[in-house]
Amino acid sequence: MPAPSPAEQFATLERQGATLRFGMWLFLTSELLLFSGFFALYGAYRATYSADFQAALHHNTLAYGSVNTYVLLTSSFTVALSVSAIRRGAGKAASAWLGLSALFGLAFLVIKAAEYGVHIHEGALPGHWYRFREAPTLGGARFYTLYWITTGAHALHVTGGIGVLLWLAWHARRGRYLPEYHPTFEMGTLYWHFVDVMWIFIWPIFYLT
Amino acid sequence: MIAVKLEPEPMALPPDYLHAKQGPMSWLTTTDHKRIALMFYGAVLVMFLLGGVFALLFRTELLSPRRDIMDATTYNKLFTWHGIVMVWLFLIPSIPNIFGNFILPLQLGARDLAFPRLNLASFYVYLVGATIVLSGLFAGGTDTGWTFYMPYSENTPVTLFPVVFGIFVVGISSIFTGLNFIATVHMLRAEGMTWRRLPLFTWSIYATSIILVLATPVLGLSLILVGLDHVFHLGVFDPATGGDPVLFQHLFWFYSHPAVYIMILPAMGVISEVVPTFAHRRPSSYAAIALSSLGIAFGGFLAWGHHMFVAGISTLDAGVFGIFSMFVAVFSAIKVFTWVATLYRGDIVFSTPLLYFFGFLFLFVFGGMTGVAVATQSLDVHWHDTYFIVAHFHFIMVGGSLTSFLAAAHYWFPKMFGRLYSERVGLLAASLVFMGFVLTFLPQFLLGNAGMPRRYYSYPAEYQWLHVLSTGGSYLLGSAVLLALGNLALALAYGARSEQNPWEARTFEWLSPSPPPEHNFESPPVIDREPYAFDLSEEQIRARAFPG
Amino acid sequence: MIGRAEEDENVAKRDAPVTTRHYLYAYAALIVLASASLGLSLLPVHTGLGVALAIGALKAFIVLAWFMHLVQENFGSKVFMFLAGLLVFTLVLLTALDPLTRAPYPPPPAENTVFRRAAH
Repeated sequence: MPAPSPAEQFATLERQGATLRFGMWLFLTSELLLFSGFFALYGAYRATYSADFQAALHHNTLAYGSVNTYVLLTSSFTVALSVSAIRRGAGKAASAWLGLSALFGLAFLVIKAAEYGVHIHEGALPGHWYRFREAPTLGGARFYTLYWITTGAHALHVTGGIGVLLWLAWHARRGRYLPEYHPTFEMGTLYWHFVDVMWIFIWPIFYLT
Repeated sequence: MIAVKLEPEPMALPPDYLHAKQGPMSWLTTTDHKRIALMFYGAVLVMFLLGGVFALLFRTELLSPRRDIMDATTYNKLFTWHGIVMVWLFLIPSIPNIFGNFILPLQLGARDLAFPRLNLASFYVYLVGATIVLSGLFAGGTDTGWTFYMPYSENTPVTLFPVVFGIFVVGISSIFTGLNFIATVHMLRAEGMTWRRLPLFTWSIYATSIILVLATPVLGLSLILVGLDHVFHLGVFDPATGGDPVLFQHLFWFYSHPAVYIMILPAMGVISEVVPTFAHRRPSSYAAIALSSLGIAFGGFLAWGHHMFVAGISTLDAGVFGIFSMFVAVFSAIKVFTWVATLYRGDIVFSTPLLYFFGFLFLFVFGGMTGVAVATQSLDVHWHDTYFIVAHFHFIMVGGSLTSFLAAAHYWFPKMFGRLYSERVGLLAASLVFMGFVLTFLPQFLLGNAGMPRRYYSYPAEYQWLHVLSTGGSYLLGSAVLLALGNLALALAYGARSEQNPWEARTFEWLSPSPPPEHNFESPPVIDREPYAFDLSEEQIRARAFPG
Repeated sequence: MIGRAEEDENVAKRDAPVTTRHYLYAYAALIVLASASLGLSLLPVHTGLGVALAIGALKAFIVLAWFMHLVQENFGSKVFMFLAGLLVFTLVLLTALDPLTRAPYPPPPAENTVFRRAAH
């Protein structure tokens, strides 16, 4: 497949690729600020209900959350390996790595769903549905409300990310990405890594300390 | 597909962007930044007129102290609709999406924005969002005020979710546009266009785009949470389950305070082009104006808490926010002094855009100084939630942004359409806009200081004469705006043909024909000078931009 | 076309690209750090949120720099990412500062009985 020519507003293909990646980085800053709202709410409520938050935290499902941390970190690694494969020109290998990453993503969602099941069973639900007896009521309700909306928003991003990975895998398999020019591929992988970065911060504040 | 590509005849100039392709589909599917700008122009003007009608309706109710033409709920809805439509559907997209879209690539010497299809998507996302907002409003929705304060927003009996969701969607359009502008400024500058040669309008649009990309998502999140609280009673901000409604205000103003700079920074960019052009003099300090734009963008992010001095936030936090707010005023003052110093000893041509600048200068300084006053906690306690605040932010938003919007509409009219408007009618309309505006909002300062709270449809009789003045002013303002826009609309059909550079401006957008061809420049320009080189003649700048 | 933008500071530096070996080191570091963070939280000694967040920041940096190739991206991407991080920090800090330094709350509703919405 011959190298494509740049769109009319770009002088060179390198510049077009760099612009596409830069655009993706800007989009990710925007996404980061979206999650910052959750973190700000968490910070403020933790400042208000410090002891309650720690009590609620120690009743949270640590095992599920921690396994998910390792799952997501590993999926990021396999996504990175798919970029290596694309740079070698091995579209099929890249596709396989992405397929594996998407499976990790799916595993994350399955574990998350099982974890939500535990919460529903315990009554650790948001807002006025909160019935969890083992954590203090006021701070606990705040904690689990934030927990649900934050991890829920994150799970939506994981779902979208799996779609992106599968889309990339499909096109990589058909040899759509050149070893020297594949900005779209990198943009998709950036999105997945970003989802991982968000979990890196969600994990300690809702499960660890 | 009705679109027909007209082949340019040999030796003739290529057709301009308005005529390069024909038929409605060539507009609806265009990726040309100039055509998308015009589509935004149409949509945004409709929103502007709609928001204006809402305002005139409730100003009419306020003519007398009693109930006249509407009940309290209708009144609450109307001022809410006015705020929502004017802020999110008119002011935020107005200058960036119309003039930024049209002018920014031309000023950079680029053929288009970095992501033309994203630009078109931004327009359609805006349309979808605006449709959702308006249908939510007309389906009997939303009496919360444009700020959606909790806990009232959780409990209000009217529909809320479509409106907040629509604003979320409009926010996505803002993010797309801001991202596109930043990428374009970084990556698509013409050969020789260094950062120090960027025209000042481009600098201010760039600073605005930073806010659009980084602040809008927080608004989206906070509004979605309000919507969820309202529908599902999640209780994120509900005091009945231990929630803190003030936290909603934190998140809301983290966007909505910088949003004020989304509205005013592009306006300052317009002014920064109009003043050097009609004074025929380079800005007395290019760096001061360019860097203060960035200063305002960053400083604006640290000032959000001054909206909450009486909401129960801690005194320490309020003090921190008060100090940061005053920093922003310093940057604004730097700009004002630089514009005025630019006029000094300039070869001033008195024209409609410059007259709008004079109006802007008075209104912005007045609005800005009252802003510094209300950034002081002790004073704000007296003025907060009164007409004083209403008058203050209308001086900035309407006095600053609307006058600049009209200045831009006149200044770039020849560039966009290749025609000249009637200067006499333009000057008359500009004077009337100014008078109408002052008559509307100056009495509101007095009302607020005398204790009239905002958002009430009835009031004690002793306030009536000021309310009557204000309502009269609003009628005058509305007619004057219609006159200004009507003048432009007539010029569209009957105006004299304009030359390429009728104002003898020196910024780079005038290097292309007016109106520009589809690909902006006949050949890519080379930039080897600063943007305000008034010592060079028209022939010289063209010979240097297009060597050979 | 390709390989012609030597003088272009906006185009990523591709002469020293991030390689598979970098990915491997980064992944190992991430696993070690995550385990350290988990181990610390299980210790009887309370190390607090600050340590966990510092480890998280380090992990995020590793992912950004090598998995996402930020080390070889253009200056603009780095600046904007830094700016976004700074704003997140400011938002969290100034928002949390408010309840931290606020005058005491009014007494909360009685335990688990008066959730007003529960009746709905």
